[in-house]
Amino acid sequence: MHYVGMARSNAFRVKDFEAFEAWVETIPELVARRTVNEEGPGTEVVLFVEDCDCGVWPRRRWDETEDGKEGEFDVFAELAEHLVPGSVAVGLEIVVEGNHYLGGSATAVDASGQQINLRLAEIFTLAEQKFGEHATVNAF
Amino acid sequence: MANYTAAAHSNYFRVKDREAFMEWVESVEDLDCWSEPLDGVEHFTLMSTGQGWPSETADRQTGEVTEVDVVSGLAGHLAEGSVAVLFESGAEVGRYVFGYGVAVHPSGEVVRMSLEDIYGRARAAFGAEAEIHEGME
Repeated sequence: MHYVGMARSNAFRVKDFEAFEAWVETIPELVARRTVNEEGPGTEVVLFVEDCDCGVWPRRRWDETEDGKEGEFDVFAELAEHLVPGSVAVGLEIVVEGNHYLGGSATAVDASGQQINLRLAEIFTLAEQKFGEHATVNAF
Repeated sequence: MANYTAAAHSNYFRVKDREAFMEWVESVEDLDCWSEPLDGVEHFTLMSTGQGWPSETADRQTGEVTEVDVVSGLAGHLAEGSVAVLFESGAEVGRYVFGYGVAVHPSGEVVRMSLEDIYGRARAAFGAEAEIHEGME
């Protein structure tokens, strides 16, 4: 079943815009755009996903050093290396698969690489906690 | 809003009166439902055929537009002990992405969460000094 997604970030600050842009260019699905806010250290940017069928944050890419093998990577771990200390990047993502599945997730990362995650599916757990073990909460 | 798109549907839940539930679904524009047997018991899933959960509907006979609250409307049809979870997500291309879920108990009590909740979690984790823009511009 084909799914479609959309993903983009908040506005965050990078230390070296040229280095950040060079990193973005290594990942075909990503597009970076500078914001109009010129105050503060570094450069404020927004990151979003384009040029792919699925629209979600990329999880795999071709590894040029290993004969073109496709490998997993963590886009937020790599993004963190470009952040101005104190700036937090937040990536939001939604996924829809016809009438079968609707999901979403969010990741926040700081310059140290620490990540905080959220998935919309957590609401099933919250509902079970709120309504008790005698309530039936079916997933999709 | 030309580039705005949204989708909405639910988990599977039980209803106390099949006919009354179907009548309610049919009375609201852009609502549709399917049913599936789970463990031999009919369960329904609710979905929007429009852009997200409808907030108003037009009477088929008179055309009069009235407000609709899908969450409270659905709560009145849920079978005892069955919880419906309504999801909606969408985006306006080049501007924002959103997504949220609402769990509805037959009593009308709800639990909500949103992708925007990540900002609160990030503040709790990274501290008050962290610069966290909630906007995308």
